[in-house]
Amino acid sequence: MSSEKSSTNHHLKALLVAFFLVMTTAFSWAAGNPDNGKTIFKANCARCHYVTDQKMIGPGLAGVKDRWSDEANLHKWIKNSQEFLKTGDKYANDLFAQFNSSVMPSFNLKDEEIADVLAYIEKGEAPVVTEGPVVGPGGEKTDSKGSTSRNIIIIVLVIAAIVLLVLARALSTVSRSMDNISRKETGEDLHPERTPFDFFTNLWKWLGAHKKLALFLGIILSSWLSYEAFMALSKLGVYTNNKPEQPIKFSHVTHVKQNGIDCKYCHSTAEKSRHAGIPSSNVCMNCHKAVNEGPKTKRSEISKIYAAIGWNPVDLKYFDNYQSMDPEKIKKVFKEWLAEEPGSFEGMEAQIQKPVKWNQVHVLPDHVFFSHQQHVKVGKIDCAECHGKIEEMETVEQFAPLTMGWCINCHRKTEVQFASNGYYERLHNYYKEHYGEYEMRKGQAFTVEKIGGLECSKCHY
Amino acid sequence: MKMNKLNISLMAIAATALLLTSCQKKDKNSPGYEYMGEFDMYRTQSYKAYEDNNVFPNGLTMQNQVEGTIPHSFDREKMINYMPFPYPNTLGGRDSAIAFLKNPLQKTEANMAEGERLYNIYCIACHGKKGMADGPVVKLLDKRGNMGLLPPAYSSDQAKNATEGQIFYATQYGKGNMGPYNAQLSAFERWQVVMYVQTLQGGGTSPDSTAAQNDSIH
Ligand code: HEC
Ligand code: HEC
Ligand code: HEC
Ligand code: HEC
Ligand code: HEC
Ligand code: HEC
Ligand code: HEC
Repeated sequence: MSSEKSSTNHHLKALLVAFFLVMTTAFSWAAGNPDNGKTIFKANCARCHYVTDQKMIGPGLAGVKDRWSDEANLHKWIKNSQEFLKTGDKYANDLFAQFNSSVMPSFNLKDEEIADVLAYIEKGEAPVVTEGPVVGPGGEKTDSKGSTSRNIIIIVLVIAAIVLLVLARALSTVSRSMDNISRKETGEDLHPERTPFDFFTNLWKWLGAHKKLALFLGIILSSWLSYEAFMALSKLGVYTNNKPEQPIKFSHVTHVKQNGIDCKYCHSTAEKSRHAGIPSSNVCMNCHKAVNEGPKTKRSEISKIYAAIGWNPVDLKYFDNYQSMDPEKIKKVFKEWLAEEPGSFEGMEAQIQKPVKWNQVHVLPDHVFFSHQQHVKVGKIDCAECHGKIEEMETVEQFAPLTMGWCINCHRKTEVQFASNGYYERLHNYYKEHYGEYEMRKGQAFTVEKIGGLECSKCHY
Repeated sequence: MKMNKLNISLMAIAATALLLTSCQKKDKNSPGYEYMGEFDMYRTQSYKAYEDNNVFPNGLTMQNQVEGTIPHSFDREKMINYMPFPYPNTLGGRDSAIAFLKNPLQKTEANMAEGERLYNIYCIACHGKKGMADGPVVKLLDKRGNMGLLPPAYSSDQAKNATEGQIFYATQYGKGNMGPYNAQLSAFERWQVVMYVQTLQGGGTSPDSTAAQNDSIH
């Protein structure tokens, strides 16, 4: 009996030790050793520079060290380029002129940090870089990567656990049969035959012998499990960071940040309707009649707009009766147009004579009513409060959780914009007439809550 | 034999654990899981604005206003939004618009301010803050050697004498590489913009517009 117990005990101890070993190694591997220079570069420089020789807002930085005669000057330049220009350095001033006098901001970086960055630039990046969106000014998103590496860890752990269990099992079987042999000789009782469940019966027995410990472990295990279950369930239907791929690699960085186009130029119904609206291809054509290639994707993506709307980029006019045209004729035009970019035609072929089907990013449930007009026009709220820094996103990503708590919290703390707000003129005058000066406003914040912004029927009906 | 059974059951447990923990969305473009979906009020069967719709021949849910109809409204000033535009998109049509088309709105401060606000959303990208043809799009394209979207400065000889009819006509049908703005802006709003553009035709009323002229890319 006692030897039986102790064998299970060993069994478990071995397992536990092994488990923790795997855990610790797995996690130290996940934390990794982040490349310091790369982090600094991404945070400060990546929005203007590539580490290749491709230009963005600033020059491509491949081989800068060779271009600068003195590394100390290079450090000075990076700390404060405008200050450095005043020294009259010819190379720097020429460069400044070459970039249309666009100013590189000054950076409060230590010399070691700059050295790290330069080391990173020297090392360069794998050739994927020129792919555009991957290391676009918005920078690479770490979310998806983070979650895959977490998944990998979990998979590794599970596999390790299985291997350990099987090993432990095999070992104990071997040791039992050895033991049985010696017992046979001495005439002791043999180990009973194994059943598939004896691991559990043994465990049960062991727990029975350590009731307090078992209780303790049980409480920890069950509270951890219910916490995990609660968190998992409360995330169902909340799609923060939802980031679908789009049929055209449309970039808000290119259009909003670099081209300075206002959000409402494209989302022009934001002030007039519940929908901010997705621009139709006509709106794209306001500019893309004249802009037929981009710096990153060349002709391949913009030609999808042409294929959807029926613009002939060779003759610079719309096709006649596009929708009823023979597709082969259209394909011939685009094949010719994209001849210099292998693979592009295959990528855009499906778009011919079809409207662009953007993938929806934000999806509220249908039992909620939300209106952009009320928030943008009347409430005067900036797009960024709810959508985050869209101008930094190569691919649009959901920023806010869009849960009911999120709406309500904001309604509790945001004040209503009464001042010079046409929407409230009538209401204002009405109150003045009936109640004299508007007493309610005095001395306290007049939040959305006060005009009924927490009433269920305002959002659910 | 029995050991195999145990192993199988262990494997099964492990496999389920694996499935539960490393569960990933199959379709990258779908947002994820939700409780009841179509069985609840989460996703009702009503057509959404951007959904496909097989009821209409063109397959869209959002339909254009039926031609010849006017929405019910008591705002008489805004009725111009729904009136047909009498000048056709031809050279003759343009000439008569230049000569006869007049702004129906009052030159009030409110209209002017709204005009400026709208100009700063819809026109500034190319025409620039003071109408000096130095908008960010034009500047960026200039670096690429593309002059396709370079408009004339409003105060240049080419545009300073444009009548209000001519400016409105440009927003109705577009001109050259400039696209039409009649979908993004209503007629009422475009007349407000025209009012503001006319103040820019005077050119250097404010001191910084001369600086802008020097910056611009001619
Ligand atoms: C807002 C955009 C911007 C950011 C951010 C920026 N730069 Fe620059 N950088 C420029 C521009 C533009 C130039 C070209 C010179 C000019 O116009 O001032 C330049 C030039 C340079 C040069 C000289 C390149 C050559 O070819 O000799 C170096 C080196 C440089 N930047 C490093 C950095 C580093 C390191 C960072 C981050 C700490 C950084 N830059 C962040 C815009 C930027
Ligand atoms: C040049 C036109 C253009 C401009 C300017 C523009 N957008 Fe967009 N936007 C689009 C297009 C096209 C899409 C649909 C494709 C996509 O999701 O990337 C979109 C998608 C979006 C979405 C996601 C919609 C969804 O499916 O839920 C949001 C949010 C958004 N834009 C916000 C903004 C904000 C905020 C700004 C200003 C900072 C802005 N946009 C400027 C064209 C534009
Ligand atoms: C108060 C928060 C809030 C503000 C401010 C806001 N949005 Fe939204 N936006 C949302 C929500 C919530 C949705 C999802 C709506 C739905 O699914 O019905 C959304 C959806 C969108 C969409 C997807 C298409 C649509 O219309 O449903 C676009 C595009 C968009 N917003 C652009 C903008 C732009 C541009 C601005 C600024 C002018 C803006 N939003 C301001 C909360 C906001
Ligand atoms: C106000 C002008 C304007 C509008 C409207 C506009 N674009 Fe652009 N777009 C540009 C300019 C300018 C460039 C080129 C940027 C450059 O050369 O750096 C560009 C580049 C692009 C590129 C290529 C990007 C690259 O890096 O290769 C794509 C794709 C694109 N636009 C798609 C669209 C779509 C889709 C729409 C409609 C929703 C649209 N654009 C509306 C001005 C515009
Ligand atoms: C950034 C803050 C903010 C967020 C987030 C927000 N709202 Fe609002 N909401 C406001 C403000 C401010 C007003 C008041 C506008 C006004 O003056 O009528 C308002 C008004 C409303 C109204 C009209 C209330 C009335 O009394 O007429 C509705 C309906 C509404 N919000 C729904 C929503 C929903 C649904 C969400 C979440 C998806 C949401 N809001 C998220 C700020 C917000
Ligand atoms: C400011 C707008 C707003 C108000 C006011 C509001 N809700 Fe909600 N409600 C939402 C939004 C947005 C969601 C969707 C949350 C999600 O999808 O995660 C929601 C979801 C819900 C759900 C969950 C439905 C489901 O299928 O998951 C219930 C139940 C609910 N609301 C009840 C109420 C009740 C009861 C009230 C009044 C006390 C109320 N709501 C007031 C915005 C609002
Ligand atoms: C995408 C760039 C772009 C935008 C945005 C733009 N324009 Fe233009 N505009 C042009 C170009 C290019 C021309 C020169 C067309 C030509 O003469 O071929 C022009 C010409 C004009 C003219 C002169 C027309 C004539 O008859 O000679 C007027 C007036 C005008 N634009 C008004 C506007 C107004 C008002 C807006 C805003 C609603 C606007 N534009 C927005 C590019 C633009």
